[in-house]
Amino acid sequence: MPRDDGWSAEWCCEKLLSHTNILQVDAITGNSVRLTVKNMHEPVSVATMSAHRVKLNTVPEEFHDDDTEFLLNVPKSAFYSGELLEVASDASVGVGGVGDLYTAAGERDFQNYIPKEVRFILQGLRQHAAVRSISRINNRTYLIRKHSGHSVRVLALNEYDLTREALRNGIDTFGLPDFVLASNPNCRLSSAARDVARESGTGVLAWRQLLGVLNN
Amino acid sequence: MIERICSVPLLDLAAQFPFLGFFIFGGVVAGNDCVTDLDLLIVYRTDEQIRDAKEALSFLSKIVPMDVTYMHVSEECELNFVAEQGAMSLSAVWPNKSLQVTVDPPPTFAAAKAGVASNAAELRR
Repeated sequence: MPRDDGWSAEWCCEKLLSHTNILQVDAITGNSVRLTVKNMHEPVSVATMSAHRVKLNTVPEEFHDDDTEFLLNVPKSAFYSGELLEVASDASVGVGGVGDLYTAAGERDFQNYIPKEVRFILQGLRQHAAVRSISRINNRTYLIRKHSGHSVRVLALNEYDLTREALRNGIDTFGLPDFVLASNPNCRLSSAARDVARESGTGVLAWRQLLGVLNN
Repeated sequence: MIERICSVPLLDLAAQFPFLGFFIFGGVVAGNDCVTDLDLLIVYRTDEQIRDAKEALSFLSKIVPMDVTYMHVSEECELNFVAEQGAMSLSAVWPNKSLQVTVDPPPTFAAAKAGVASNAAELRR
């Protein structure tokens, strides 16, 4: 059965060329393109799709091709399951949206691409004395296992303005966490969002507050 | 490319939901050459007002990468978002795309909108 996002490769051909590091885009199938990237010797194979929720059983078959280096999903702020992220990481396939692909092109590394925000969070948590291990439940939720035996689920929301709707939508999409991490260092939290967090039985913490809470 | 694809559908959407405030901010308003996504602000008064609009935008965001911020009218006042971000109403950003649109944002934003719109030429530079 044909996918309903079989247009995504053609979409990429037009869209991605607007970036200075992308020199050429050729559609290979309806869900894959080959990119010629500035200062990269070999072309880069990219699987393409468009879905608000991305799971291992919903990715295009091109994702599993040996030469695929990146899975590009058109919608911004989509949900990616932890299972998909783990399989992609094991297979050295970067995952993300258009902005992520542009960043990977700038870094000239598609296979090992991880968003800067995620890198920062993972690195910071791994260095925390109370933390035994971390796994990603989805692209925004982290399961932190502590040496004490307790686990903490943290939902990282990167909005500059964290509104009540952003908070509700984050919880609906990614699940109710123990804490919400306002991962944007310049985040402004509205009073209404704080109320929604309280009513939902969670709390919003800044980065330093989260590190402190993990000590308890 | 983003503007070409979504300006008309968004203006249509704004016409369909005249009680919501639709604003554009970020790269499109700043006139950046390489815009990866569209930053859209929707201001509302009641949760019911945004339910149908969210469904329509969910479809559009599968075709165009969009970052949609929903802000209750009280949050916009608290955070002063429109003025601080230089957000512009859809009809101010794309005045020639449709003659049918009569976007009428909540009165609370009228002053901010007028102020921002008067600086539109400068913001586009």
